[in-house]
This record gives sequence, structure tokens and C-alpha cells, in this order.
Amino acid sequence: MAASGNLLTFVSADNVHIEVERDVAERSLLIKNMLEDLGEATEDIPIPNVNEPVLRKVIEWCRHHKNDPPASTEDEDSRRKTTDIDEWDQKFTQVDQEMLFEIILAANYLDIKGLLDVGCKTVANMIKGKSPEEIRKTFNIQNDFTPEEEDQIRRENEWAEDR
Amino acid sequence: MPSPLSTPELLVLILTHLDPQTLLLCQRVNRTWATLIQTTPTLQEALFFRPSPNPDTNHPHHHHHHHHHHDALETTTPIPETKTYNPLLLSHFPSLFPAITSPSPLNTGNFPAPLSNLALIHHKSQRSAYLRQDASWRRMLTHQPPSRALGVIKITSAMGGETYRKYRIPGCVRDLDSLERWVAKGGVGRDESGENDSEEVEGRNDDQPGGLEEEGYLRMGLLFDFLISESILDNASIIWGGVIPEDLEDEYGPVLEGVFRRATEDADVVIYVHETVQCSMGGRRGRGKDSWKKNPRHKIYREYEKLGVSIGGACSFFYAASPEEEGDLEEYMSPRAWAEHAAWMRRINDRSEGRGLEEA
Repeated sequence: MAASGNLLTFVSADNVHIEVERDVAERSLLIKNMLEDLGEATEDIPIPNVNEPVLRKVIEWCRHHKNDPPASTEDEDSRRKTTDIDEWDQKFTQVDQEMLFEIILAANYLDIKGLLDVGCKTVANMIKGKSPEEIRKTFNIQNDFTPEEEDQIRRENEWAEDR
Repeated sequence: MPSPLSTPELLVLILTHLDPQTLLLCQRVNRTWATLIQTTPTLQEALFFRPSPNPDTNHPHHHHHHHHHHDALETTTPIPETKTYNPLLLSHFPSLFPAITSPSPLNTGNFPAPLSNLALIHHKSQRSAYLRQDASWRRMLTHQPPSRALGVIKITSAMGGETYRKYRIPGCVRDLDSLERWVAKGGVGRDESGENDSEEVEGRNDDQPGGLEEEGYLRMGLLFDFLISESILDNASIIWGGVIPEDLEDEYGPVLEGVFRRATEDADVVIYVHETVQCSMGGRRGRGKDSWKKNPRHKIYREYEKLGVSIGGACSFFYAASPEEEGDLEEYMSPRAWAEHAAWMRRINDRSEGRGLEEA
């Protein structure tokens, strides 16, 4: 099943072979650097930790964005707190929380900055407008504050709360 | 289930996309979130708790421009820096900031500074949330990159003429108590840390969000409390961005312009106050009581008393502090003021001539 020419083969963690065009695969800096080191890739490329459904989603994103300008290395844009997500990406991220989290972890592992950003922005949007208790419920987070500790933080920042 | 929320690096990436208000709230989720928000430099910068590195750091002369100000005074205008106002303070204390149409750069004066427009004055129910000692806005920088000092210029008009005094309160002064200690120590003009400020911004470790003592940057707490500290400041103006208001320049000319220029070397915020010393004593006393009750400072003081917040000692700043610079202001009239004066004189003359005719 070795890939030829411009077609590569990813092997997911659950051992499913998926063919990917080289320019699509290179949206992942991990893969791009690996291919540069290897020269011509003739072997299947194992993607450990990423299961088939997630890997297919990731490839779908890379295929749609294959012509995007390369991500700037500056972290200048992380400064701008825009949580605007383009329409296609919004539809793309309408998945259950488990899938969204898996996509973020895969994007982080594969070093796909654009996808990682979209995933993080989507989670940020889920946080906005919620109370701390609602945030905990949404993400299944344990509150390990004592009531006094939490109240202290609440009082310090009460002035900034919506009324 | 694996979660990016349990990886600090990814959680920071997510929190980076939040607005400051949500970020403050997120400190209450759990200890991990709180610690991360309180110790991650980029998040502390986004919250204006930590000074952000100057974007012009690479400029060889920029950081030390105040060390050679004497030759810079006449020849160059200051390098325009991009300043960003603290968006949270801007929305909660709008009348203390200049009117903004775009986020930068800092523009000129807000004239005068109306305390009475603040939400904390209008809404009694919100007063304690704002005015408590540990309210987090007090620790926030007014803008980024921050100001090293708060400038104060006071002009006194008296029978003998007009004089000015210029003060510089370094950013390490955080509240009225520490202002009082600073004044008592003789009000050292320059804080020692001011010598290598660029290193401090970039190289300081930030494991101490509460330890602001040694940080020499203007925080909102001092600006606010200073403004409400004395009755003379009821008529103060806050001048942002180091631009001298035109009418002041017209009235006092090049001398005061120089004073402003020097005051704004490292203070992006200058409080300007004009005091007129009256000869007749007791003129204010009669109408004092009622207007004091309506004075926003009265409401703030009452709340401070309830909350046990110190508003410093009894000693007036202007009485006790030694100015960095003082001098006389000679009478000056700008060409424009002359023209206006001449026009006014003409109108007076015309009118009196007109009246003369009618009466005749």
C-alpha cells in the first residue's frame, strides 16, 4: 500500500489506511518536516494516537485549507482576541465535545496551527457568557476551591461582572 | 476522555482567545485555571496586570529617550508609540479616559475629569464592588505599554501673579498610603529601577502577581485615589498622551509648554490643576455643606469608611510634597489670544458706542 507520486498513505492509530494528497498532508508541519527529511516517502506514515474518524476530520480540514497562506510564525495574532471563525470552520467544528477535543489534540500533535486555532477558539466561545459553575458543568471540571477562596476571587472581580 | 483542558499549554491557548472580563471570571473555575491565569505572562498582559514589552524594543534609542531629553527637546517630537488603553477600565471608568474613537494612540485631554459620571457614583448598589480595597482594577495598568509615572502640574493664581509646580509620582507608588510614605521620605524624584526599564519589562519573572511594590508602573488604583484625595482636584483635568491642551498653551505660552513637555517624558498621564487663591476668606464656607453632599468624593469617602479603606493621612499632598520643578509664569498672550482679545475689545467699543447713542 505504499504511496506513489503525490499520494501519501496515513495509518491511523486503529490501523486504518487513508490516502492523502501530499499538499494536503503538508498542512501538518510535523508531516512536512518529516517528508523533507525523508525526501521521497515510500512507506506508509503511521499517525499514532489519532483514530480514523478524527484523522478523517483533520484531513477534511487540511484539504479545505490547503491553499491558505502559510501561518505566520509571529504570535502577534494571538494578541488579538478575535474569536471570529469563518463560516466553513464553524460548520466543521459543529461536532460533539469529545470529537472537538480529539481534533484539538490531533492538531497539536500534528502541528497544524490553523486547525489548532479554530479548535481553541471554538472552546473559548463555549466558555464565554457562562458562569464558573456552568463552565465546570460543561467541561466536567472539579471545583477544588474552598468556598472562602472562591469568594475572595469573586469579590476582587465583582466590579467587572455583568449586571 | 482525553482533554486539551488538562494540558496547561493547550488550556493557555484556549484562554488566550478570551476577553479580559471572561478571563477574570475564569479564575474561579478551579485552582489550575486560577494559577494558570495568574502566572502566564501573556494572560497577565492581556489583563493589564503585567507590563507588556514595548513593541519598539528593537529601536536602539527608544527605551532611553528620557535620558537624553535635553537635546531631544527642541529638535524631535517623541517617537509615536502605539498605546492601548485598558479596555475594561475604559468601559468602567469612561469619563476618566479620553474619548476614544480608535484604540490607539493615546490622544489629548479630557477636560475636565468628571468623577460624577462614573457608574459607581450613579449606582449605589455597585459602589462596594468597585471601592473595596482588593478590587482587581486597582492593580491594573491604565494602558500598555504602561506609564512609568503619574505627572502632576499645579498652577496657582494669586495676587502676586501666577506660579507653577510640577510633581512626578513614580509608578511604584500604589495607593495613598504609599504616596504618603513616599512624600514623607522626601519624594525621591526618580525611582532607582528607572535606569534599566527595558530589562525590567522583558526579564522580570512574574511569579508574584501581588508583589507590585517594586514595579514602577502607573496603576489605576493610584490614579483614582489621587483624583479623589483632595478638594482642589475637583477641578482637575487628566491629560493623556503628553499633548498639551491648546487653550493652556495659548494662555501660558512656551514656559508652561516646556513644563508639560518635561512632565510627560515618562508620564503618559498628567493631572493638571489650577488653583486660584482668593483674598477674601471664608467665601466657600457658606455654600459648603449642601454641595459637599452632592460631591462624588463625599459618596466615595462614605463607602470607603464603610469598607475600611484608607484614604491616606490628613496631610495634603500639595502641602507636603516637594515639587520636581517650580517657577513663575509670566504673563503671556499667544498671537491667537491677542487676536481674540482685540476682537473682544472691538465688540465692547461698538456696544458702548451703540448704547451711548440710544441713551442720547
